Amino acid sequence: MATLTRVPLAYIEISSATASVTFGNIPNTFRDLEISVVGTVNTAAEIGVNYNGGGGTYNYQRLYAGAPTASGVFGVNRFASIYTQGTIIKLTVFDYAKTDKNKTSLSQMGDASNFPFTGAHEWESTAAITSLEIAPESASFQAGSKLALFGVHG
Amino acid sequence: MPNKSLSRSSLLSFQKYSSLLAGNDAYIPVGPGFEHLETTELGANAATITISNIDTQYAADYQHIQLRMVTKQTQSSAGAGDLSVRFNGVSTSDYSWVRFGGSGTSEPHTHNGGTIGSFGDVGPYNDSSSPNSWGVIVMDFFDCFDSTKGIAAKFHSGGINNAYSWVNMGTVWLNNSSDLSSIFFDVYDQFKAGTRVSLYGYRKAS
Repeated sequence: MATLTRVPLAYIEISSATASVTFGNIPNTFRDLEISVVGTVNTAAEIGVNYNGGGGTYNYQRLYAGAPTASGVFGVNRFASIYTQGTIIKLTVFDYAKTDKNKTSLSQMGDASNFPFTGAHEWESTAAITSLEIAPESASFQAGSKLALFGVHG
Repeated sequence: MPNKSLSRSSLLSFQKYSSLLAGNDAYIPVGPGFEHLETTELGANAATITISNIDTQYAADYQHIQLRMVTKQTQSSAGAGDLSVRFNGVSTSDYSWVRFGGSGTSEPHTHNGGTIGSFGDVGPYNDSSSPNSWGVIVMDFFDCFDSTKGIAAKFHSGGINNAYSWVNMGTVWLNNSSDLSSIFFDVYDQFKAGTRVSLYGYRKAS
């Protein structure tokens, strides 16, 4: 029987305003993780991810398309922006279960009226990722927002 | 034997049990047609990496190929270095590439050509201050088994270490019509052990 390469692990559709979403008990049997967010928030915000309950150092480099210059900064755990109109975000975390590598990820984001951007991100930890929390900063996911977690074999 | 009633249905796992499938295993389709093909993981440092026999193994069943790489260079200094690529062993001046990126607050964008394609900074160096930082790259080869077309790959790459941060998007093109048979990677120094390259295929429509 065929085996899926990109396996849906969890899916959440927000039914009422929610500050954060946590995916727990992530198995270590995949090579990469993919997180997709299709949603809205009550006010435009940065959106961040925390691994394994938070802690550690997060760095990122982002590139805005349509802005006068790239906005590249070292920061914390922000991997995208999310707006009051529909925003789509994809985050791929590579070798998430490897214990000899910090966790590097790539993001892409776009929405109806703001400039899209892409980013690279690092969590300075060699711990295997077993849970992740996704939260807009000082904002809430609105009803109808959808978040999904996939495991990718490799 | 009477048909069993619907006992389980899940869009997430692509499983469906219904009366029509009574007594049988659930039908699990090949999902969206995205399949893992092979993975190479370096057990020791290596000067180059070559993925070979791509067309002979996969052209019959797949239309597009995706490559994912997690890599690091052995050079013991701060920063990151270019990752270069050749297709099908071609080393003539038939490559073109374009990329734009972000690094710190600058926004480099470059276009060039030559005997080898370049993704720009991809592999962080093995400096002592960030020994566990790795760079990543995703390449998508579209219609790569159509011998009437050149070989084109879209790429998205990035990484961060204590001395440098970058993200790039771009395209590498080989003006040489042929099926994709091999992918060759080179860096200034060596690829560090632990570097991995995974190939995925998107199935042809049946």
